[in-house]
Amino acid sequence: MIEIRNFSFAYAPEKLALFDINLQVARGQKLALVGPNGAGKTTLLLQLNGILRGQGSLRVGELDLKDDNLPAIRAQVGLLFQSPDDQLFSNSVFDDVAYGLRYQGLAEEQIVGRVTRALEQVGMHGLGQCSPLQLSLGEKKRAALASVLCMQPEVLALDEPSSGLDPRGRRGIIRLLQQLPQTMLIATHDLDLVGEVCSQVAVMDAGRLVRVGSSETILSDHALLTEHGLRA
Amino acid sequence: MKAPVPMHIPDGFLSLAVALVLWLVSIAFISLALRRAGKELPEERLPLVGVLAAAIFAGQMLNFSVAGGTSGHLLGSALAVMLLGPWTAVLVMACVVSVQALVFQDGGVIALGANLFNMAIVGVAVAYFAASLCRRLFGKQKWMPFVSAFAAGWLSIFIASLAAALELAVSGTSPAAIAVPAMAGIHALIGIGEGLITFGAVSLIMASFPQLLDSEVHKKSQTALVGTVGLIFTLALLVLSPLASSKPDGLEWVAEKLGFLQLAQGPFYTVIPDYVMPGVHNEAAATILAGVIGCGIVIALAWLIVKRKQTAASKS
Amino acid sequence: MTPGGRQPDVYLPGQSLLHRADARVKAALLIACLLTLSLLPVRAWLMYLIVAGLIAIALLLAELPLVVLLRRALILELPLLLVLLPQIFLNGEAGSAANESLRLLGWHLVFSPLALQKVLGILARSALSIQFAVLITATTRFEDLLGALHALGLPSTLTAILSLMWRYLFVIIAEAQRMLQARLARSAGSSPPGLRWRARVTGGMLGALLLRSIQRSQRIFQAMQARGYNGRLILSRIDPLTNAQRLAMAAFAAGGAVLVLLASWMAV
Repeated sequence: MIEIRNFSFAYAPEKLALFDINLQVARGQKLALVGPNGAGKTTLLLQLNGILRGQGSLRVGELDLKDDNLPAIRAQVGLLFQSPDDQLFSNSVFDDVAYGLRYQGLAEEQIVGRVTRALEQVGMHGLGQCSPLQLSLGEKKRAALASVLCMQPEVLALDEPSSGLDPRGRRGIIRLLQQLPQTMLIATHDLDLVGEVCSQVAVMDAGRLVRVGSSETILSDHALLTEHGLRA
Repeated sequence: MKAPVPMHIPDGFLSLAVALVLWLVSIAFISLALRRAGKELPEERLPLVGVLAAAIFAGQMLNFSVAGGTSGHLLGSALAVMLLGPWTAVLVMACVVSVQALVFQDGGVIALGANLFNMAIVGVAVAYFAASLCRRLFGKQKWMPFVSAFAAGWLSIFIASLAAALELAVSGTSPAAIAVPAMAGIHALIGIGEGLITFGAVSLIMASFPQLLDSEVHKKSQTALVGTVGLIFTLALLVLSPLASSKPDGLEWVAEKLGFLQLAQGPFYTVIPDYVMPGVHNEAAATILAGVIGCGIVIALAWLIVKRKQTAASKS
Repeated sequence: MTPGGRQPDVYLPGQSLLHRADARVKAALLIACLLTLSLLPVRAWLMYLIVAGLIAIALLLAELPLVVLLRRALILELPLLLVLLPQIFLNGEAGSAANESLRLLGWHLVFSPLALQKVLGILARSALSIQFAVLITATTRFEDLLGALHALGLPSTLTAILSLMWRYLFVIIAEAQRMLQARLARSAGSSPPGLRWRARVTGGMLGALLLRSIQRSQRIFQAMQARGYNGRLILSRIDPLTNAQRLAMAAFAAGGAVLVLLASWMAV
């Protein structure tokens, strides 16, 4: 489903952020991207729907990432940002969830239906008229997820979905991610989430992909985890 | 949410004629700014303007004690100009002033046009003029950004307050002899606070992201108009204010000299109810008309100057 | 206070007639009221009384604690009093009948009944304008007001900008308040350092706030792009006005015009 080959990216001529990344994610698979802060996890996720543009080959489904098919790619890849406050930029949850649908040109009645379903999917039924200012962090994360799910993407790219949540909030997100059928690429520090949601793990450090393997293998390799700052 | 500076004019203090004229001027400038701002900044200007307007509004809460119980606050026109360039700064300050009026009643709704003119247009234009002047005079010096930050901050507040005072005088709310010295005096002091905070903010930005203040970015097309307008506002207000306050009938004297007084006696001007400005006769209507035509001439003049400079530049 | 900002407390929720009325109708009502007050002759005492009565009725219709609404308006009106009172005496008018003159510190104080009436008139208009504006903002969400302004002609770009500003206003205010608290926690001092230093610290806080906001706005733009923003603005749909609403708006305008005409007829 996702194919990344020989991919590199630099923010500025001397500041290389991604070195020669090679990664494949099969359809329906959930892959965790782990690594210390600054490893390039967020940078890689932002490449997936063309927000940042690097060099190399990046393919999502049938589409190669190119300048002229960005709207199609963005309809395929739903990106959940690290801070839900950046993603919920409207004054009501309904408007935030409807945002992407309005740009897809859907009719208002269709939009209402999809928004309602998306909110139900994340357990936020009936909270459409709330302002994001009224929501807790967990509710904001779920609302942000709804704003992405309603566009019915094939792939979800999630940046630290459980960070900052209390145990109950984490439980809720983990359960939600387990139920969703999409192919997922999840950047996270939360090794418990990795164990419960993801079948594959890719370890990143300093912009490079260090190791890719199954969750059991990687999570039990304490030496590897310690070396890359994932275990205290 | 209290107003940061005592410059927001409430409803009831301006005559409707003054308010409406300034509404028209403000709408014209803001429409122009909407078109020009796109060239100053890349595409992401939409969230940038909105979020920075919120930041400047919030920034007005950051006070520091000046002396005895008083505290200095920020208005922000100068800082907005230095960070974003003049046209975008107009939009940002327009949002700040509008939300202050519409949500928190700092400044009236009918008077919003006048408040927008004073703070979002005069304040920004004068700040830009001061900053450009400093850049031209002291460009090579290392301390240039700091001096220009202070100068832009002080001058924008001071000149804007003169504009507010004259508006009150023309409306008949307060004689110029009282309004001008009062506003000028208070804001000469408040302006120091604005200058200092602007200087402090610029210091921080210079230390972390100096490229944000790069004047090259701001030299894009047609900012010359703003600078010239700023210069004209500054000069005009500095001249008119003492004139107005020294002669109690200062503005009528100006109108008489310009020959408008005769026009005022005609039937057309009886449409403007003279009881809106108690104790003042139709001369006030003449002065308002003089002001409107004067503004128009000023702006047309500025445009012509800039256009001539541009054609001269493109020929060379 | 959550890191995400506190809810603004300008709007006071409720289910009254005033709350449920369409924002466009309320905006029209506000403008009609303010214009009427501007057009009335300064000494139109009877008209002020009538307008005050109408505003009082509106206050009751809002079904909100009156004390709160009156207090908000009063806080805004008091500074005006301080500004206007001296005008009664410092009005530069000499030689009117029935005045007393007083020399105080070089100022020539003249009590003028004319000036007193003018000041009372300005105060009345101002106070009534402020009170009604307070009422409308207390019963109308800003998002809805923005929609009304857009329907009444505000350009889409400005509407979108103001919408974003409103969304992040209280988030950033919360940030600013945390900075103030942090500064307070660090100022254990007895005598604070010089003015220049204090201004520099405050300016530094402001600079940091602005820089963080610029970075935040870049992330917001990325989020907009990720959901399909292509430079074109699509604002939420708003239902067209019903005939009843249009009639109400026309009635407000007509009512105001009637008051103004009556007043000018009476003043002649």
